[in-house]
Amino acid sequence: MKALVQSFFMVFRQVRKDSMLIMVCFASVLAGLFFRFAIPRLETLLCTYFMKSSILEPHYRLFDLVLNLLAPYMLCFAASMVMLDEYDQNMTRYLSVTPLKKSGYIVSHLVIPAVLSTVVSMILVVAFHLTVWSFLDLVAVSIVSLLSAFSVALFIFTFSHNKLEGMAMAKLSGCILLGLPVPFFVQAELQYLFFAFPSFWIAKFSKEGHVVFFLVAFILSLAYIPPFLHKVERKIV
Amino acid sequence: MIQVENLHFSYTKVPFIQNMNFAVHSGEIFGFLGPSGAGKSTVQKILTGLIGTYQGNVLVQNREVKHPHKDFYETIGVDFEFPSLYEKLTARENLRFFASLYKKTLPLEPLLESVGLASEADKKVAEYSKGMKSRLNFIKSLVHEPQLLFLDEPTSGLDPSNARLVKDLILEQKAKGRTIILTTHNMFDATELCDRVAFIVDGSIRALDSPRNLIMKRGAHQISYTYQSEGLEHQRNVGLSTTADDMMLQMLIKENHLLSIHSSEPNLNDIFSELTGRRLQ
Ligand SMILES: Nc1ncnc2c1ncn2[C@@H]1O[C@H](COP(=O)(O)OP(=O)(O)OP(=O)(O)O)[C@@H](O)[C@H]1O
Ligand SMILES: [Mg+2]
Repeated sequence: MKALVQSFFMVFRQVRKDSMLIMVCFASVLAGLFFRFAIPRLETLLCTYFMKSSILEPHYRLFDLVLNLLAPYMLCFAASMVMLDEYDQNMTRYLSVTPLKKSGYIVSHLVIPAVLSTVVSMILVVAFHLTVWSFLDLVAVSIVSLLSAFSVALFIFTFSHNKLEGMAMAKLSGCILLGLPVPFFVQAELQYLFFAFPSFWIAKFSKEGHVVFFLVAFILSLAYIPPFLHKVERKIV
Repeated sequence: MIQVENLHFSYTKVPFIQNMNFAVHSGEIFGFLGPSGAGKSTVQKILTGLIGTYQGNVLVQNREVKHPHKDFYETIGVDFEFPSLYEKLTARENLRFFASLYKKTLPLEPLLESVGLASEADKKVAEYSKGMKSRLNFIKSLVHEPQLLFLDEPTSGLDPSNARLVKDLILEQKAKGRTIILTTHNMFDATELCDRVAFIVDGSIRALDSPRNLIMKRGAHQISYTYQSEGLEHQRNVGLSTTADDMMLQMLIKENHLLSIHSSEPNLNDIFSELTGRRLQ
C-alpha cells in the first residue's frame, strides 16, 4: 500500500516537471470551458446569421460526450508518457523487483490515474454540461470512457519504444474518439461499420437510451484490456 | 537459498536457456561468468521474478519465483546492469524515493558516504558521470538491507579505485552473512570475490566450481626459472609436482645460480577458453 502511494506520487511529480504534460492535463478543463461558454454563443450567432432555430443544439449531447472522454484520454496519455520515460530509464524493470511489483506498477501508474481522471471527467460534465444528464447515465458513460482510456494507455505503452513514438501512437489512438459522432451523423445501417468502437456504442446509448448499447460498449471496452495488459507484462523484463 | 532445476527459457521460439541446474547456498558469493549474450542477465531476471514464463523449477528462499509475493521483494536487492535512476531528481531524492517503497530501511547518509557520493548527493543524476551513476545504483540495492543480493556487473564502468571500493562493499555484505549472486565478465573479480562460479555460454552452464578448484583441476601448475650459462640467459619450465626430478633445478639451487623462479597458475580466463572454446571478453 505504502509503495503504491509513493509510486503514484512519483507519477505526479514527473508530470509536474514536464510542461507538455501539465498542458495535457489542463486541456480537458479548457475544452470544458470552451464548450460551456463559447458553443452556446456560437449557436446564437449562427442561428441569427442563417436565420434558423437551431444548428448546433441537436448535437449538444455530442459535446458532452467528447468532454467526458477527453479527461480520461488526456490523463491516461500523460500517464503512458511517464511510463515510457521510466521505461527508457530502466525504471519499470527496477520497480517491478521492489515490493511494488509489476502489478503495483501498473496500478499506481495507470489504474489510479485512470480512476482519478474519471472522477475529474464527471466533475467536468457536471460543471460544463450542455445537456441534461441523469446521474446513472453519467456513471455509465464515464465507466466506458475510463475503460477505453485505460486501454489506450496500455496500447501507447506497448507499441512505442520512447516518448516520441508514444506521441505518434497517441495521435493514432485518438481514433477511439471517432465512434462518438457516428450515431449523430451517419445514417442507420452504415453506423454499424463502427461496431468495434466502444465510443460508438456509448454514444448510441447516450443518444437513444437502450441499455443494450451500454452493455455492448462496456463489454467491448473491457475486452480490449486483457490482450494489451498481457503485452505490457511481457514488455517489462 | 536458491535451487534451480531443469530450467528452460527463451524470449523467442528458438531455445535459449537450456536445462540449467544449480544451487546457491546461504552466505556465499555465487558468480556467473560468461561472454556477452550468454544469458547471465536473463538468468538473474528469472531469479528475481521478473520473467515468469520459464519452464522448470526455480526456488528462491524455498519458494517458486513465478509469482513472487511482495514480501519476497523486501528481502532481495537488485542492481541491474544498466542504472535505473530518475535523471531529473537528485541522488538523495532518488534514494529517498526507493527507500520509501520498503517497510524498513537504512539511514541514507552513511550509504552515500560509503561510495563517496555524500558531497554530490544534491546534484541531479543527469549531471552524474557514468561511474557515479553506477555507484548510486549499487547502494540503491542496499537501502532495505536485503538478505539476498543480485548484482549484475556492479563494477563495470568504474575506475580501479572505485571498483575496489565497490568490491570491498560486496565483501562487507558477505561478511554480514548475505548471499550474493554476481554477474561479471571480469575473471579477476570473479576469482577474487566468488566462492563458486558458473561458466555460462549460449544459455547453458558449462562448468561450476570454486575458482580455485577450477584452476587446480587443470593441474597445470608450473614453475619456470631462469639462469645464466655461457653468458646467455636461459629459461626452463617444470611441473610443480615433478620438481624433484629436475636435476638442473636441483643443481642451480645448490649452487645459488638461479636468476629468477616463479610458479604460474592458469587463470580463469584460460580455464574458461579451455572448457568452452570461447573467450570471456
Ligand atoms: N527483452 C528481451 N527480448 C528479447 N531478447 C532478449 C531480451 N533481453 C535479452 N535478450 C537476448 O537474450 C540474449 C542474452 O541476453 P543477456 O542480457 O541475458 O546476456 P548477458 O549474458 O547478460 O550479456 P552481457 O554480458 O552483454 O550483459 C541476447 O541474445 C539478447 O539479445
Ligand atoms: Mg548482462
